[in-house]
Amino acid sequence: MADLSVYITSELTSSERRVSPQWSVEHFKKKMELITGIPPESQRIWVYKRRETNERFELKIPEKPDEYTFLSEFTIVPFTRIDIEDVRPDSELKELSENSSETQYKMEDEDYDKRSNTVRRWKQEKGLGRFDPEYESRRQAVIESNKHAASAIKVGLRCRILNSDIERRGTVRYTGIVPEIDNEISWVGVELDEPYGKNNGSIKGKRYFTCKDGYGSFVKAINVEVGDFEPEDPFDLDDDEL
Amino acid sequence: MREVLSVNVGQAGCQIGNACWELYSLEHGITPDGYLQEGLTQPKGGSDGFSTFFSETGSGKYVPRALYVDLEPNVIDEVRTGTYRNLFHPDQLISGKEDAANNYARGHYTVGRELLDDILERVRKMADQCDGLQGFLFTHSLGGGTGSGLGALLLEQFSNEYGKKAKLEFAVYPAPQVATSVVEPYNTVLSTHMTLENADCTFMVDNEAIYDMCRKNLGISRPSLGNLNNLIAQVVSSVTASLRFDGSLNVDLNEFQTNLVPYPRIHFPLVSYAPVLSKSRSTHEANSVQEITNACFEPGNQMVKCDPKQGKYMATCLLYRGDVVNRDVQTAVAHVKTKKSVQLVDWCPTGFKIGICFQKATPTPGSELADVERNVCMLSNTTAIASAWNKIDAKFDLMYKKRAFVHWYVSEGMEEGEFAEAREDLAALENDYIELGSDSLGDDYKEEY
Repeated sequence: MADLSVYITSELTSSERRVSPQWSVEHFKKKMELITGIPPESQRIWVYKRRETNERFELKIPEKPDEYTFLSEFTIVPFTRIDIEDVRPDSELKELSENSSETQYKMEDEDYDKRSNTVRRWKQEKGLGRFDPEYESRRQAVIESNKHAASAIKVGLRCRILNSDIERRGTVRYTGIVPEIDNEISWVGVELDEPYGKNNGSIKGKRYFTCKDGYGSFVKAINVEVGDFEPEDPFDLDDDEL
Repeated sequence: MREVLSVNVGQAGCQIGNACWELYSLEHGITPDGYLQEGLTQPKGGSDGFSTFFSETGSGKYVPRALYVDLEPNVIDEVRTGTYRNLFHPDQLISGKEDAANNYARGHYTVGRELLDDILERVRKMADQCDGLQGFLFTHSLGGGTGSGLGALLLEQFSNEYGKKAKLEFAVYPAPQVATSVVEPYNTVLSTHMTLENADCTFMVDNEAIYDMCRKNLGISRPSLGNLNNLIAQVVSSVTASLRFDGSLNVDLNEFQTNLVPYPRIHFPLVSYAPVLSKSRSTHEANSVQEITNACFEPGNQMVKCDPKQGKYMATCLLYRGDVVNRDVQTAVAHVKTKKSVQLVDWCPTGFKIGICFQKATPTPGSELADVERNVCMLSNTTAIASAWNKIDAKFDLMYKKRAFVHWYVSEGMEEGEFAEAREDLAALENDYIELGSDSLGDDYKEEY
């Protein structure tokens, strides 16, 4: 008899598995321990008759001490669900299902530094990222250009945002450093005419201005152009979007 | 010639192998017993490409350059007696008598090692039949015993014996929600640690992601592993298409690594595939190059569940098949680059590599997948995939803290220290990804909060 594909489920696992009708129930239980973690003597095996209902029967070894009982003696059709229940009241498996990140091991930065084959080592050796001798001066240039752009942007002015395909217009509500993002770049808080923004004027709990949800956004000063940008008529058929 | 040997290890690896070879045969016009389909005078796709994956015997019969390995006999016995029994030479199918019992240590040290000499000998024979072997393509799972243990052992041995030949793998990676076995996190971490140095490029596939695709996109209410493997085979086929078909805008096996892997440890590109469409829905969709390219950036088309919006891209390969012209691809790529959600690592060169194979994909008979004029497979090295490692590491820690089931491994002769060593290595891998995502110059114009 060929193998059957069935679904094996337990509290911690679910998988499609192949079982052989020639297996004895004892052998099956040993296999199930390796999948579910439940020792054979603590397994209670339920065979679900149909997918749609919870109708099930227990797969039990009848009392015939000197003989093996084979899976073929039970009605198991392909893609039957077989559930392995853990009968131990204080099963150690229960603790393995908790979902916590507190127990998770993280490597300390100094330990990471000591390792030889790492991305950080590679960056150091090749002078990439912050290990690039010109990195600092380039970064300063970016900060300067944003600062320069910000000097012309005043709260209350009309503006448009230049960082995406769609034309987004609005009113400047904030300019300056936003420590919630970083401590160097000049950011501009904009209240948009339409809800194509990211927030309501606050960022990570700190409020910089107030507007309706989805109408506020913070972008870098170099991406903001101030000027006579009237609110767009959404029904204007000359719109690029149509 | 630039031959590629496929090595399918363990139950999942062999079953995915079956689905792949069924598909390859169909795409090249080969019958299940290895002869040309009626009416053909040569295999489809041109002889150069074809011969990278098939060899020809004197008698006009074609044989896959493939090896099947499993520690237990049943899965491979089905190949020996199934529809494709005459396609393979019996020497290509290696099975043992005793399974790995879901245990990496049995696959890697005890039961697996007994088969090792036999396997290496057969691989040598197959390698000898090649003019210019490019490398190896592995399929295996990371959660089971044979795929994780023996798979890692073979990758290690191949590194010793075949030096710099490329080793790519498709690896079934544990799904984030449902575990297939309690020891899956152990097997995955142990295997990944071993292969981190030996594999050049690993494409991960999480069954939950594929399962959801089968349900939502193909309308299969209860997808079986068979359904999942058919879809995985389409992905593998797309990745290998440019190697198998002449006249493709070519990508060779080494190029995946060259284009996708900036640093050897960071070799886990995220795979996306589009369109995944059922026959009934396909007539309602246009599937332009633009649309299928955009779809690759949607989480529902990814083979691993993670959020690329939270990560940065280091490199991207777009492999198109079918009726696709380069101009449309260039337009689609230009559009993708302007997306706010597509952030690049700004201190290393990040390119979009394009591959086009004009032979369109072929759905296998009985598959729910629609026959479409074009499709795309995207391979992107993104830091977002680190969240997959993070999840499996957390599960590992939860168990290892209590030393749960560790004795199963120790009793196979494995030292407990290997657990800690493997886990350290994966922690360093998580740090590697953090290091990749840091050091922004602040000049990403798309940044917005």
